[in-house]
Amino acid sequence: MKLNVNALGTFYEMAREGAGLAATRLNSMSEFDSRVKVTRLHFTHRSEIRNELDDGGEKVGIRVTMDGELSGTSLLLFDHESALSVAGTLVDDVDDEATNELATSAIVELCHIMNSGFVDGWADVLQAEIDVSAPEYVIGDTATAFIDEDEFTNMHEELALVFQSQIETTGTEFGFEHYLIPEHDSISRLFETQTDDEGIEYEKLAGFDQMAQHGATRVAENLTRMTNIEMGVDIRRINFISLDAIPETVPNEPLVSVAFSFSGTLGGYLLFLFDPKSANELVAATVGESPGGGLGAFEQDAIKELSNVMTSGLLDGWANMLDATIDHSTPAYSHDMGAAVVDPLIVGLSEVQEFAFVFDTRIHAVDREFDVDIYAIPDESDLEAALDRLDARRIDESLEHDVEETEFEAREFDADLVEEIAAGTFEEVEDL
Amino acid sequence: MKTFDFGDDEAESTREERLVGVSGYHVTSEGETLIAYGLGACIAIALWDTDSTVGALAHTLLPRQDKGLGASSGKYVDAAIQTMLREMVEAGAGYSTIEARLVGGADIFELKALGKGVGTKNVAVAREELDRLDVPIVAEATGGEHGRTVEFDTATGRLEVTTAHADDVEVL
Repeated sequence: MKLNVNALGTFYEMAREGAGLAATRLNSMSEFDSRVKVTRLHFTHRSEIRNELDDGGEKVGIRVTMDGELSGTSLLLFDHESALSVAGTLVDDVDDEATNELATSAIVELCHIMNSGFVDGWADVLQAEIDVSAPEYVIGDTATAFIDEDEFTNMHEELALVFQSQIETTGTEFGFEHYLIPEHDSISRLFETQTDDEGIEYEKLAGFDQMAQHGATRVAENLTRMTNIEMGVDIRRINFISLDAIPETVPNEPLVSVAFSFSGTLGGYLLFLFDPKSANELVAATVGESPGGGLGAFEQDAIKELSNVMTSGLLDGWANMLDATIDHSTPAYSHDMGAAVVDPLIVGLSEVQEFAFVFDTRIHAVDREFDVDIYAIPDESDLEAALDRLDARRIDESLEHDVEETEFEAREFDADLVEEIAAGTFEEVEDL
Repeated sequence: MKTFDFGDDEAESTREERLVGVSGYHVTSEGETLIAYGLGACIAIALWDTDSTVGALAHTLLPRQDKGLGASSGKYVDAAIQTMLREMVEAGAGYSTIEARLVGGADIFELKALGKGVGTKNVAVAREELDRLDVPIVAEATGGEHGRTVEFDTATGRLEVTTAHADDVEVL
């Protein structure tokens, strides 16, 4: 199966519009003033889907199975408090748990109507019949309450495709997520009918992602060694997204960020985002506590150097995998609103593409509040060309090589280098 | 169980605040507060008719439509200005009493790959296009190295600009 970017774009827009329709229907039926916060088309390991459904407390909603041209599972889930609020606007008699018959009926009815619009939209685009089961009321705080083992088995093991939309409301805390999880065989058939020979081979993308996963793990290990803070990979996924929607995926709060451009066989941008507390912890763990507790020039240079080490590790792994050369720029630092630091990179890519594959990684500390988000956004045409040339055997070879040679240890964090960067004498990598 | 009348799925929301995302624009005669978060190199173009209080806000990404991809009017500075002016007049605005304010166009990162002055180009094209269409620019908060958020109350015309680095709100 080949993933054609135009077909992916159509499916992405379909999901986004479907979520908008669901939000409008929610507004019509309740007192809420809701909108789609973000729609994502993820390629992710199926265990990540399980982790996400396990996270965030009790959820309430419906599950619907689809058959026909598009087979899979549609889940509409409110967090518990939001379910109570929604039920309260629909019926007068709602118990604290929202589990009495009136409350559950109201939630099922609302979710069913929201979901119908979504599925009807897909059927229109595909010009095909999609059979939908009766909605099943679901409630729970673990993934098994929403998806059974058979459904997990029907996903692609390494790179399951998921459409996910979040709806938010104005003025109130509100949690609602829609998941559309197609069966892999179904999505394969869909792409075969919607695309020609152009596109990215699915299995090559899966292989590349496997390598990226491995690289992220090594970066986390590398960070652990540099900081003595035990780090792990929390999220790994490929997010296919409209460029103009990327800022909405970033927290709307001040973040410390370091950006790189990279070029060669594969071009694009790499962005590291730290919340200020994590940035301070990182500096304290590597070069010591700063006197003022803030992020002065020296601390900023330390963050840049740490990001530089991580960038070398990630991109060297990619270059090795693709048997290619990838150079990267010197780090550019900013401390600003999340959306504002992403938007220059989007502007840079928007002149040549509308959508992007964003390699999204979160590395977090095991026993404390500390994490770093890494967004790698390759030039889409470069990625397609690079993966087209990728020999499947090379994936295994690269993974073996990486285990043996530990290439991510090639560049160690060096406090002296921080001084050099601060003094403007650091010239190891050429500015692109 | 209450019963529901869905009416038109595309019906306008009655919300008082509306987020205008990247490549989006919105024209209103309902006095809504229009918000654009986290402007970096992007620029927000706020248009307001002082008589009718019809207002509009665009969150634009690139300077000119003829050099870009896609058909979204809110994505391009020139197309957004033209589209918003047309829709404002259709909504009851008088063309001659429309004023413009510009916010954003910062250069957040020094990356050569981004080219010099990405944000500056957006601001320059906005000025050119508004001048060509005889719409006066009454205030600007543009350029610099920091991101901005805009809250534009179309009922009063008050436009607030906040940044991550200053506690004070700038009113344009």
